[in-house]
Amino acid sequence: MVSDISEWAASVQQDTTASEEEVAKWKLQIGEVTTIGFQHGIGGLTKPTRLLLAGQSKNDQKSVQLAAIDYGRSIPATIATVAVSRGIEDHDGKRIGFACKRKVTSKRLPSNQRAGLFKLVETVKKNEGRLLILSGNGLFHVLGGRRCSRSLSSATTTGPVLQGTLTVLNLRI
Amino acid sequence: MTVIDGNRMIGTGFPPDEGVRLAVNLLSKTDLDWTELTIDLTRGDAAMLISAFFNSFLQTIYEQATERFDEARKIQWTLKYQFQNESVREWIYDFEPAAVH
Repeated sequence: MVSDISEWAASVQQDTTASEEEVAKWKLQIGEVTTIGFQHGIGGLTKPTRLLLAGQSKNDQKSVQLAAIDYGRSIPATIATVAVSRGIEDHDGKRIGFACKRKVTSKRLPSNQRAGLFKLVETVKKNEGRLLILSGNGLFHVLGGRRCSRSLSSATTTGPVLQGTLTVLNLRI
Repeated sequence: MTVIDGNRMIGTGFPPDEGVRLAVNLLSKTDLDWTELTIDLTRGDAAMLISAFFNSFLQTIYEQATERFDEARKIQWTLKYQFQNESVREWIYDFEPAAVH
């Protein structure tokens, strides 16, 4: 996982006008989020799955993209107990949005979970970037500084749309 | 003051696992004085040096050598960028060990 992020960052570093320190900050934030994703990925599975990453930078469009996917419990399932206790029962999209809020964690000790999703959303909003998270039967989207969520469940689907989590991130450089 | 190159004590795996590895390696150095210890991670990858790395480091110390936990909290860390040093200070300060069942 770390080497995948480093490869992505090295490619970004070649094209971007961002400082080395700024790219290091992105690495930290993406490291936080993909670690959470990986932990979602292994939760509830007998064998850990690998987190898959794909990224690129486009200097002419002044942007970088990163996509990460795991095939685990999903964010809505991971956060379900906490979400229900706080009255967030509507749909998976809202549960993902709930997981992206400050101080929300599925961990036993809240102080040990560094709110990676919250920090990622803040980074994207500040950068005027885009973020899309598809997990379970929910979609969460940050665009133009606004947060949107929707349900993807349908009457014809028996299982979740995605058993796992797909995160797509677009940042301006 | 003792300065250790922390990057030589970890690998390139999953950050929580590497935090455990650092703790285990440090504990294996039985003659090491932790009272004025600095761990230099300036060569470490920013994607590795995340909260889960430091949390698992502290949790492992707590589980394997509880008597050294307070000393572990006082270890000085040197990282490449100021934002990393600030983040690590915050993570170490906030960390609460989970009881071992």
